[in-house]
Amino acid sequence: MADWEAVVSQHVATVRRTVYRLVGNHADAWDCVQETFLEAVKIDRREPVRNWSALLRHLATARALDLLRRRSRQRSRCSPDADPAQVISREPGPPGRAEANELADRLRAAVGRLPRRQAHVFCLNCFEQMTSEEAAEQLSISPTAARMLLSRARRRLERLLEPFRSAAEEDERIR
Amino acid sequence: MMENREDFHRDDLLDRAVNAVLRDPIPDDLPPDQVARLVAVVRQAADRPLIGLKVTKNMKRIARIAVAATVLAVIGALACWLTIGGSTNIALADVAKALDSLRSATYEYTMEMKNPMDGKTTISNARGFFLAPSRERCEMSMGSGNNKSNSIMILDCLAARGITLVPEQKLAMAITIDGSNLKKSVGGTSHMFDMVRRLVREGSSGPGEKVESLGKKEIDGRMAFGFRTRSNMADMTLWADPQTARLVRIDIDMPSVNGHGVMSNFRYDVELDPTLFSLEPPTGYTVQTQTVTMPAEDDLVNILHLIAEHNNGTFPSAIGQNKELMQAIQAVSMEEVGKFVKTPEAQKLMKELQAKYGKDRDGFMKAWMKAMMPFNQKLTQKYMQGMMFYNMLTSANDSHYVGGGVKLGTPNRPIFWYKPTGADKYRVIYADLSVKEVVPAETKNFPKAPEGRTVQTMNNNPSFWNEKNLIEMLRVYAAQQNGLLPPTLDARDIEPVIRAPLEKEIKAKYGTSPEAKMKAMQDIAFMMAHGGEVMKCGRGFGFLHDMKPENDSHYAGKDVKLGTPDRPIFWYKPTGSEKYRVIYADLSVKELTADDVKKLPEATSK
Repeated sequence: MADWEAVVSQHVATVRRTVYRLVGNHADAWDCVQETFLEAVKIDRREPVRNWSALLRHLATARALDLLRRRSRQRSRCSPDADPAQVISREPGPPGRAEANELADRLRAAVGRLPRRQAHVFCLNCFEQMTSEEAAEQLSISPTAARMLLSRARRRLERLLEPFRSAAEEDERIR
Repeated sequence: MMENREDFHRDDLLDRAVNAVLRDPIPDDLPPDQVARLVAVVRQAADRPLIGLKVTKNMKRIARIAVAATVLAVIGALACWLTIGGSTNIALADVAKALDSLRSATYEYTMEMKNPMDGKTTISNARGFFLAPSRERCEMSMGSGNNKSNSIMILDCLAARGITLVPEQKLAMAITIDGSNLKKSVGGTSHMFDMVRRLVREGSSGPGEKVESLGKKEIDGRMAFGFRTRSNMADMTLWADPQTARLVRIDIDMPSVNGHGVMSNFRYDVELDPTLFSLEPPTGYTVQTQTVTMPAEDDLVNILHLIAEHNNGTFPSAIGQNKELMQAIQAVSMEEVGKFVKTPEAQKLMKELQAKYGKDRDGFMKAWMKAMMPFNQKLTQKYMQGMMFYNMLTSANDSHYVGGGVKLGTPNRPIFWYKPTGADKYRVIYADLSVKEVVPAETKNFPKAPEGRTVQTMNNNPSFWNEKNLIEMLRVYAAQQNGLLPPTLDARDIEPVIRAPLEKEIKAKYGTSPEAKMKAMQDIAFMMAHGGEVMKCGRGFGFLHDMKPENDSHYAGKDVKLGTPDRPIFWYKPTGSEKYRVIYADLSVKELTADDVKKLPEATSK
């Protein structure tokens, strides 16, 4: 059995960073961190873990995506036509930062609308800096399938973010 | 806001978004105590002897079927334990006190129980015998026709021994009760007669609800005095002869198992042959042995942990025989049985049975199930001890469950507390599964139990059957009818259509006689392969069946094709909601206000 004190101490910061990037707040991130380690306990019972870092980042991404998807569903229930890129915040703030924050939030919301595996491969590749091969290994799929999912994810995200570009242009025109 | 507009256009928007996420600052602080708590939770989870579903895909087909059949048997046994009670949960300490003036008693008992997985109702009938000071016998039959199964449970509380007999299989399970756990147990038994005596005795004292007097009423042709008592296991309405104070009838509601039972035709101080209570196995029976322990608090902690692990890390909405419990039990049963089937002992047995029965699948399965019975009983007991502990708590134990939706591991969050019999302090189970003792005043600051009740009923559990089950049923129906939705939601219109493919398979493999149909139903592998759609249909009807008048449900799908856009086909007002849920012909769902609902097309049925 794993030395859980060592595993947690060594990887908790990485796991938290992985989920925080996607969920964007501390409370949700901590929930996901706990779920990640509890899931890891189950996996460790079944088979020896060779690469804790990769496994935990994979599990953390999955938990964070679950949360994003739940948020996405809640959003659609409140307003069935809601689009993650539909409404642009008008809150004042440092211009560059505000835009970046907004863009980051739009991307999180859009990822929550992707099919599960597309979202997972995208996050592992773009946020966890895993290669297609590494992501494929975590998801037990072939590298070719991983590359295909990544390509589809990018195309779909570009479409989902498109209204953000249009709205920004309109904003600029009004100004 | 968009000052750098040219950059914005020149950059790839998606890459910029990715960079924005990567550069989004992440707070550094990770309080050491928070990490320490996480380590504690993870260690605790790792130390518990649980769980995780192992895939059986690499097993041979016959092994997969054997595993599936065994798991079904465990689940069936589970239901049985929760209703009639196993023959094993006895309060040795209470037995002496429970001996009252009765020398003997007999009664009849009928129980109806709805299975939460498939919505089917099972009726059990039993004859009970009690002989002072401590012996009970329960002759039980379940099902009917070829599906009927009989068993006899005999228990001697003082001797701490019992025996279960299965006449059809000539099987005897000798049970010894290990009392070493008594201090951690709350005492009591789920065996019918003793349970009644205990609930009546404890219901009139303690901090929980008292016995409620119901006054006089004519029961079974004579005047009787009634009162109602409750525990986590059952709400009981007892009717007693006002002259002799002896019970004449008991109505028992067991919301935690979706059951209702009646005990009646009591006869007292009749002559009973002591051999009826013999713990010796009859001649010719195969004898197996089992030692059982009293359910204790640790068992409840384990079952809550088990459920949470299989419920996305969240505690169940209520404690009881609900979907959350069943899916957890199913998962662990799969794992345990899967492990067992791989042992050399099981492999050897399987080979022997295959050699003996060849292509006689029925013969193989019967022999396999018989051989697996002790394993099933151990498995059932292992995971049901926690539920039994909960069920045995009476109003005197003042138990509260408030864990619904709480995340496993949440620090300092009470989810369950109770007062052990005779104790001054409460025992509190927290969401990180730690347990502490607190003085009664402290419990006043704990979260409130939903509606002051800790058990779950069919009607107040929205997750039991839900609209998804109805949607799935509509989808399956339309697939059989070239996309046309059903004319009404009447089972007579829907069920034949959904059953048609199964009937066709049965006809092809077994023929058309009632015996052939029965044989098909008993072929677990066959039913697993072809009966799935019928099961879905059952769940959809479960959802419709639970609709009440205040849900104001309407159906308007007659002559409508699946996928027709913007065409509402079913709407209802969920209990407690202001808005209506509307299912459209493309099987999407939206919420509408009552005013919007008035504009919908006229319903063809309610």
